[in-house]
Amino acid sequence: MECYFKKNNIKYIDYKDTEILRKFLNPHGRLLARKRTGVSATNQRKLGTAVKRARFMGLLPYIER
Amino acid sequence: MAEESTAEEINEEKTIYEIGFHVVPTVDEGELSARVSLVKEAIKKEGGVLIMEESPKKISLAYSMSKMESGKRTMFDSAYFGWLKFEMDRDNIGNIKRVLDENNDILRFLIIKTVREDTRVPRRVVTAQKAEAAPKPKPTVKLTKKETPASVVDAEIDRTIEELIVE
Repeated sequence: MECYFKKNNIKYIDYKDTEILRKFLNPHGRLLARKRTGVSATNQRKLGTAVKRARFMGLLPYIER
Repeated sequence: MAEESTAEEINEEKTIYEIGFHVVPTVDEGELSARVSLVKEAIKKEGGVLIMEESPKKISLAYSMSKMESGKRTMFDSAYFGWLKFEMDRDNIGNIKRVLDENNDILRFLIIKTVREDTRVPRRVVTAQKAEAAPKPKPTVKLTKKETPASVVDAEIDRTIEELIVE
């Protein structure tokens, strides 16, 4: 499986793009594992940072349901 | 050569920062720009140069946030979210943090190091994916469905014409 961010030519993962970040969260709001997302290791780390920033700013929930 | 090296040094000292902030929803929408301009002035005062910004827009928060206001804890479920991107010396960013800490209109803020380019994903990528995800219509099935009623309608018209002629 090709990395989503490389496929769509996304260089930077912004915490404000919550629509994209939500693709990588499970229904409880937890970040999916690399095994499930198929994102490259570098981008998975960046994704984690972006999700944590979005959570702090109240754009994404810490826990859902 | 000497000029080039000094230019590089200047670039190294300056860092691109982005401040994301929530303005409390109790502020009137008309006054928002005035409240944000206070932060912008502080950035200017510390030698920062504004690169990009988005004016605050009301959003509902994913969870309720609390803020201490005159010794009382107040909870907020919505806020005006905006951001500013600017270039500044590393030594002065602490002063900006202090300004934001002291500002009572700001519910929460986040200072991050970023790059000069727009880091947001262009709208077309998101919309294109939505179109892909949507179920595609099946044209062949629809055509055959349309054909049969058309012939029926034709037959009906013929019959009505015949009836009219008889009359």
